[in-house]
Amino acid sequence: MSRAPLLDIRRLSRDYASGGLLGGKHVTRALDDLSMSVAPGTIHGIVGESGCGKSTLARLVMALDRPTSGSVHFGGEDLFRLSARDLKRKRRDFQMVFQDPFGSLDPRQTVGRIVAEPLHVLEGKPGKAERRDRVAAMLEAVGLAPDHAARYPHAFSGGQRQRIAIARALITEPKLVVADEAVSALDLSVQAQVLNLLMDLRDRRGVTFLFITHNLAVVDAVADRVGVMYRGRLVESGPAQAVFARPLHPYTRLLADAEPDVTRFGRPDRPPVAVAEPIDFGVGCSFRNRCPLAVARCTAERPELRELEGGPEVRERLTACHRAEGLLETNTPG
Amino acid sequence: MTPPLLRIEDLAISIDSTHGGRQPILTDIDVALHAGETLGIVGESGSGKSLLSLAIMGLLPAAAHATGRILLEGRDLLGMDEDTLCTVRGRNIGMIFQEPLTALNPAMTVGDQIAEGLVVQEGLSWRAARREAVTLLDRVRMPDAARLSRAYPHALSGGQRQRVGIAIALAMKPALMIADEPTTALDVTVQAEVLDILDDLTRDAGMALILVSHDLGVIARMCARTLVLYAGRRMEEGATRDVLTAPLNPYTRGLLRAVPRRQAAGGRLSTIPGTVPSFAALPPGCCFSDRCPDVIVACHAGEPAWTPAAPGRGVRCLRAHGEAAS
Amino acid sequence: MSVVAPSDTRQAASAGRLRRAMSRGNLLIGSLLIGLMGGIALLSLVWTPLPPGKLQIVQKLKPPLTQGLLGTDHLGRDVASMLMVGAWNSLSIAVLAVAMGAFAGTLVGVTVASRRGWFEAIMMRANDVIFALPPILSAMMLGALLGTGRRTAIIAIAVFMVPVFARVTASAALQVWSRDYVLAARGAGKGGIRITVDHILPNIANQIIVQVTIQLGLAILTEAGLSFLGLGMAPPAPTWGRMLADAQTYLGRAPWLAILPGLAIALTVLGFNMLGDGLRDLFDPREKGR
Repeated sequence: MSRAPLLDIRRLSRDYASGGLLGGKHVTRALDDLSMSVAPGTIHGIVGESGCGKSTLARLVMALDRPTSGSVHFGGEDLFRLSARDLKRKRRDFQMVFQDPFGSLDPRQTVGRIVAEPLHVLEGKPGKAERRDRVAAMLEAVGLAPDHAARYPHAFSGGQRQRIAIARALITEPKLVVADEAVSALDLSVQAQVLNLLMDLRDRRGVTFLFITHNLAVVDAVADRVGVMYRGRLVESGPAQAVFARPLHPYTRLLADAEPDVTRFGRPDRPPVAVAEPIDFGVGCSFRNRCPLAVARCTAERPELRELEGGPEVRERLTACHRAEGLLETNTPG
Repeated sequence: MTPPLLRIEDLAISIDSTHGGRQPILTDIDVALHAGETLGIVGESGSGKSLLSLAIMGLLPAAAHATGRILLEGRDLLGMDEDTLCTVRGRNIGMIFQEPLTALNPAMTVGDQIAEGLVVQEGLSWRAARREAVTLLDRVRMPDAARLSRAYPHALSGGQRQRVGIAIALAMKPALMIADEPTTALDVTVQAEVLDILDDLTRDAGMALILVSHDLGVIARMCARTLVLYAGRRMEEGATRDVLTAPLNPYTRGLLRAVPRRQAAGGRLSTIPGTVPSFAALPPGCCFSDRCPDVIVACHAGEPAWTPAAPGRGVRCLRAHGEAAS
Repeated sequence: MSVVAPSDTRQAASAGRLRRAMSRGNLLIGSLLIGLMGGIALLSLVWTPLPPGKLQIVQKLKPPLTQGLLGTDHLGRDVASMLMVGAWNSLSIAVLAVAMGAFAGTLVGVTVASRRGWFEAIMMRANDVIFALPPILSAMMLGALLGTGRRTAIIAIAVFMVPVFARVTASAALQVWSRDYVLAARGAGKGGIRITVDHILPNIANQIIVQVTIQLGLAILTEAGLSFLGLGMAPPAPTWGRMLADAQTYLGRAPWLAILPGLAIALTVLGFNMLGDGLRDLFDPREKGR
């Protein structure tokens, strides 16, 4: 990556404590020492299953929550060292789109008011007329009509609501939009429309997206780079196309194999997927109880993200697996 | 040829509308399913697929009015009183729901919930029924079945709960299993395992399976035949491989093209313009005519009839044959 | 709430028609009853058939329609006039008390929901303590401090209402706080007060209004109870509760003396409850839109 990253996440961890005065305190590590950076003008995918920490990551990047340790640098500034006032001013540069298009719009506000909400952080708040104009322009940019501003959310379908949410996220012309499962609740035909909209916004306006999802096919379709998360850690990252074509981590391969595909009919000729429940190991590789390649070293030593030696197929790629070299040999491209 | 296990003839369902009057939802539904067959019902939200599965389970809400016949082993479910329906539901039809947590009783161990049906319907003793429950949990590959049968639903993961849901449906050895979006709430790796389990069960027990889903990949994985619904109408039916590789209806084609896949640099995903219309605002003529890329004037004139295209294959589209030829 | 499975919407549509008809009935009868009582209460300020305090010992304990419209009590006072003034006393105390309680309780509730942490813990424990004290008991304590009377009754009932409203609004507000649109507002840089005004209050207003009507019914009952025990307004001001208390001695000879104020209380409480049910259905988002 030649350009300076827009988003630079350094050794980010977040613990959640449960239990309390009575009964032992139990600490769950939702995010574990995660580092990554996102280049401007790209769609950066984050893939993982429920409980992998991807939503915690979204909340931290949005500064809606504070980390236990580590930092999030946005445009060179550490978000968690900014004063409350500076952080508020900075918020115009990063916005979020949520998964549930029915829960993310206040049912008692008009679409115009919803879309205009983030404008109040701007210096010299725009006046009524300017506000109306900007809302109208934004609604048109996401494929809705300006006169939709007077209506209430319940009058819209799921796909239209998600466009409204995207319009709200874009109205301050942010540099970064965090999309947490933003298309997962949408029907197939509508999903493709929204994905195209995201790609258009990247290409025409240079918006950067942190695109978080559990759906590999969706990430593969839109993302430039991708990070795969498992139990709070990044286990693999690299250019999306390369990662899905030749996974360098057994978990990525498991995900890719498990995903149903319209071109694969009937039962796949693979051994039945055995899903051991994820276990918190503390030491060693947290994936080893589900890993077909696990060896003694995986129990003793936690694999850190590293580059592999090799040709162009491993360029710009990182993996956190002791056995990645073996995986590279057995994986035939396709 | 033996008579089919399930035969739906000319089924139409309308719903009391909030503004008075009745709103037709499903129209002209015809389905035949033999023992051991697997049928996938595909549709987006607003296609009427969930209402259809409720109708087959005999769980239509009071506001729904059905005409036509739903014959299960020769008996019409639509004409049955609630008591008979209960027995049929318990013994002949197994049901699996999208979110098993809402279908499970939070105050009862999962083992007892599986055993309950055996006690009520089969007259087993609780002791025998509980033993049977552990066996059933083993069959759905529940790890440590004996211990987890004494657990309460909240203590289980999503995948484990869905396994309990399957075990409950399985307890009565139903001839027909209906699964409405059974894996939509699950992670992909868990989904793969639950699908494997369902697959084994239908194969080993000779159960017929109706799987309702919006996910074409799941249908391709699980079902020999596929029925595509749109706006409460059958758009296309046939062997899954035929429907998904050589679709006859432009709607099926559009859906398949919209499946996200990597595009060349700068490329865009293909889409179906517009959104699924509400039942109250269907376009005149063919219900897909307002979004269809292949639309011609005749499509607005009247609803196209269901046309058999080959044995076991049918389509509702004026242009189906022309397109298939080209 | 809005993400309902299709089956749910359909079931709601079926049950909806009957419910809508019923809730229209509730709303209509409820507002009629409350309108009637309120009208009588207001009328009593300018006109009553006889001055309610006027004693006519010779005419005492006359049954309805023989002396005045509704008869006379043991001191020969006109029951109709007393009931009218009693309506004003009861309703005004109830309305003022609930208004104060609702305002303070809502303030506590939304603050608790936006602050959480130790603040929530302290406020909710304080709530529990107040909640554990029946209003009769707090009225007795307040009465010792302030003397009995209208003010004591209002404060005692209002204090009792605060935790009720605090709980209802806190739990409703917490639900709204967990919605994504609140997260979006936080992401837009809005603070707790701003979010409470913009998003929380509009979305819980219905629940507060419904709770107000239900609590008004309860306040009427409580006021009657306080008067019955002599802890409410000082005699000779007539209240429904005291009329009931006075009627005890004559229950055998003059049952209407107990029945009439009892009926007035019952109808008013019923009216408020029906109004509350009707409003709740009216505001139910599942009944709207679509």
